[in-house]
Amino acid sequence: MRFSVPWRYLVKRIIERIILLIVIINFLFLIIYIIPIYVAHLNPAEFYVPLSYKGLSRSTEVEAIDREFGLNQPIFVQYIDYVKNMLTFHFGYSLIYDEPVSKIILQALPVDLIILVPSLILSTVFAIGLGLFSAVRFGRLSDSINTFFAILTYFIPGFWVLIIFLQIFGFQLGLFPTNIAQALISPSGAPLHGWAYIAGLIKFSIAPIIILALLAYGVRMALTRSYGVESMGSSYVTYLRAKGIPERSVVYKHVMRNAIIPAITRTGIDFAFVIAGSVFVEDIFGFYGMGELLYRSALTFNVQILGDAFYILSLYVIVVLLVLDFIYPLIDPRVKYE
Amino acid sequence: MNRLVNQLLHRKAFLISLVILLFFIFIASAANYLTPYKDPYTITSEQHLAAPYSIPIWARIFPQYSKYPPNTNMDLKSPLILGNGSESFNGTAYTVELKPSEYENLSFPLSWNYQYPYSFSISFIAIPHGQAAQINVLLKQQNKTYFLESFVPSADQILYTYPTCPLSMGKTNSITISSESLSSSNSPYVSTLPGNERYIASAILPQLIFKPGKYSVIISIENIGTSPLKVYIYQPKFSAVGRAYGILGTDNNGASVFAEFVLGARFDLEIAAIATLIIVGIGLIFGLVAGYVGGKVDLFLNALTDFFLTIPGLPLLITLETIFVVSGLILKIGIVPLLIAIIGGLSWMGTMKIIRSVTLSVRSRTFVEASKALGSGPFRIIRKHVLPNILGVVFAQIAYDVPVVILTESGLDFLGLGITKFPTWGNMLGYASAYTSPANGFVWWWVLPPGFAIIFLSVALYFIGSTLQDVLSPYKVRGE
Repeated sequence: MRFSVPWRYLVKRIIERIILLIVIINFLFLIIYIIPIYVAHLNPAEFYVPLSYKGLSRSTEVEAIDREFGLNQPIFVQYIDYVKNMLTFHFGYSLIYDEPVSKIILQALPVDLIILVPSLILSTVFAIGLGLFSAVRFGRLSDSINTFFAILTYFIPGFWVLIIFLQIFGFQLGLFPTNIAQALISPSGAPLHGWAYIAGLIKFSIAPIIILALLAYGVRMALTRSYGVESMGSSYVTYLRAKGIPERSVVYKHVMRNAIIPAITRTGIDFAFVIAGSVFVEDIFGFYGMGELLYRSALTFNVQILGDAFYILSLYVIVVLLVLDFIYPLIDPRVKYE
Repeated sequence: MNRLVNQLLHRKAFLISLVILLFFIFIASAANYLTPYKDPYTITSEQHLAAPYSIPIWARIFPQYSKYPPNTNMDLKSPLILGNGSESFNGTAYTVELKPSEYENLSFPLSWNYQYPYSFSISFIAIPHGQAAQINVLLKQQNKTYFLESFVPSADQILYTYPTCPLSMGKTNSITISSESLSSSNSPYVSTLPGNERYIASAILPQLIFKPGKYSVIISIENIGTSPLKVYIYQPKFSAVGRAYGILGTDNNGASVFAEFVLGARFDLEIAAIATLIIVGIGLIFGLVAGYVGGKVDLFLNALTDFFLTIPGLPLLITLETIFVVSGLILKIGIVPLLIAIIGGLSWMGTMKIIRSVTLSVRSRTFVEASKALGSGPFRIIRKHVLPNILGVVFAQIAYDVPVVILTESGLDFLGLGITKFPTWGNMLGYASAYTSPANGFVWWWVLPPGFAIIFLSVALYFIGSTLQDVLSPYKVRGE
C-alpha cells in the first residue's frame, strides 16, 4: 500500500486547532480581564497580590503590579500583551508562591503522569479484555452481568470510591501509605533515595492506579463489545468459520483487530482529557499535580495561577488531539482524510 | 398509548428503575414530612441530637454495636424508701417530712442494659420548706456509689469539706445534674478522681459510671437545721444522650444524617431537574437548527459544540466559578443559580450532537420531502414530522443528563467549590471525608448512603432513558 502525505488534511487540522487555541486565549482574557474590569469593576492587579509581601502595603503592591504587568495600560494593549505572553509562555511571577508561574506548573505537570498514564493503559487492557469476553458471549447471562458492571462504572463517583478505599485500607488497616509524603520517607523519617524511592512511589500509586482504571474502563468496554458483536456477525467471520479456522483464532486474530480500534481511539481522547479529570484523585491522595494546583488556586482565589494552569491544560488537550488526528489514519486505514 | 405503556411495563429493567426513581422522588418531595429538620448545617438547634458519630439505631443488630445506647428519657418511678423520716406520694409530688437530723433516701431503680452513653443527666424539682436542708444526689451500682452532687443552703456551704451547690430554701429549685457540667468544683465524686481524669471528667464520666446492670438514682434528703423540714420533690427524671440515633445515625456535629440525606435528595433532584431542562433545551434547539437547516449554520453550531467539547470541562467549571466568586458577581446572582447556569451551560454538547445526528437522519426521509412538496414550512415540518420522530431520543437525553448534573454538582460540592452551607449528597461526602480520621473509624452510615444514592439514581435513569428511547422511537434510531 502506497502511503502519501495528506497535506491538505494536515494543514486543515492544524489551522482548526490553532483557531481553537486563539479562541481559548480570548475566552480566558474575557473571564480574567474583561469580566472583572467591566462587569465587577475590580482591578485585576488585586488578584496577583498576596495579603502581605515583604512588608509592603497593599495599595503600593497593587500600584507596583499595575506598572510591572502593564495593568494600567489601555485594554487593547493589555490584550495584545496577554496573547503574546500566552503564546510565548511568559506567565510572569507569582507573588503568592514567590516563584515563577512556569516553574510551579512545570513541577506539577509530571506528577500526574505517574498515576494517570498507567491507569489509562490498565483501563484499556480491562476494556479490551472484558469487551471481547462479552462480545464472544453476546446475549448470555455472563455478557449481561459484565455489561451491567461496565455501565455501572459510568455512574460511580470516583471520589466516593477513593475516600472509602483510603479510609478502610489506608487509615483503618494501614495497608498502604495515605499520602505521597508518607510514601517517600523511610520509617525513621529520612527521605528515600534510589530504588527505595521508586519502590515507595510504586507502593503509593498502585492503589489509585487500579481504582481509576476500574472506574474508567466502562465506555471503552462498551465500544469494544459493540464493535466486537458487529464483527462477529459480519460475513468475513462466517467465511473464516466456514473455512475451518478455530474459533479462538477467529476471535483473537481477526475479530479483535477490528473490535479494538474504537477503544484505542477513545483511549487517545481520554489521554487528552486525563489531566483535566485528575482533581479528585490528587486531592484525596494528596499529591501535587495539575489538578491539585488548579483546585488549590480556586480555593485560595489565585486567579493568576488558575488562568495559566487552565491555559496549559487546554493547550495539552489541543496538542494531544492534534497528534491523534495524525495517528488515527495509521491505526485505522478506513479513516479517510477529508 | 396503551400499547406503549404495555411495552414499557413488560421490561423488567425499566420497572425496577422506575421503582428506584419513584423512591427518590418520594423521599425528596416528602422531605419535610420525613424529617422535622430544615438545615442541620447552619441551625445549631438541629445539631447535637445525639453523640457525634452515633450509629444508626438498626445497626445494633450487629454484635459489635449491640450494646450502644439510644437516647433515653425516662421518668424515675416507684422509689425504695429508706430513712427515719416520713414520706408520702400523691401522684405528682413526693413529700418528705423530717425532724431535725432525720434523713430520708428516695432510691429510684434504673436498669441500664447498654454500654456507656455519650452523656447523662438527672433532673427534678425540689421545694424545701424549713430552716435548712441538704439534698444529695447519688448513683449507686451494687456496692459502688457515685456521689454526684450535694445541695445545701448557701450559708451552710462553707461547713462542708467536699464541693456543694447552693439550695434556696422556701423556693422552687430546678435541679439538673448533667455529666457535661460536673466538675471538681461542684461534684464530690469528681473531686475524688485522680488529677488528669478530673480535668476531662465531663467527657469520661459516662464511661466511668455506666456499664450494663442495675443502678439506682438516690435522692437523699437530710434535715441539717434545728426545726422541722418539709421537702417536695417533683418530676424526677433520668435522661441520657445515646450513641445510636435515627435511621442513619449522626455526623460530626451530632446532626441527623437521615435529615441531611433527605434534604440533599430534594436539593439534588431540584437542581438536576432545572439544569437538565437547560441542557436539553440548548441541545434540542442547537441540534434541531444545525440538523435541519444544515449548511453554514450547521458548520458554525458544530464548530461551537466542538469548541466546548475540547475545553477541559471540570477545570473550566472551577475556573469560571472562581472568577464569579472573586469578582463578587456571585453576591448578585447567588451560588445556586450560578451553579445551575454553569453546569447547564457547559454540559449540553453531547445532547446537541445526538439530536443533530437524529435530526439529520429524519430530515433525509421521504415523508419530510413529501411534506415539503406539499408546501409545509420548516416549523410545521419540525413540529409535525421531526419532533415526533426524535421524541424517544429527547426523553432518553433527559434521563441521561440528570446523572451528569448530579455527578458534577456533587463533585463540586465535595471539593468545597459548590454549595457548602446546605446539605447535599456531595457535601455530605465532602464533610465525611474531611471530618473522619483514623480515631473515629470508618463512618459508613455517613459515607455510604449518598454514594449509593447517586449510583442507584443514575443507573435507574440510564435504564429508563434507554428503554424510553427504544420504545418511543418509531424508527430504530439506536441502530440495532
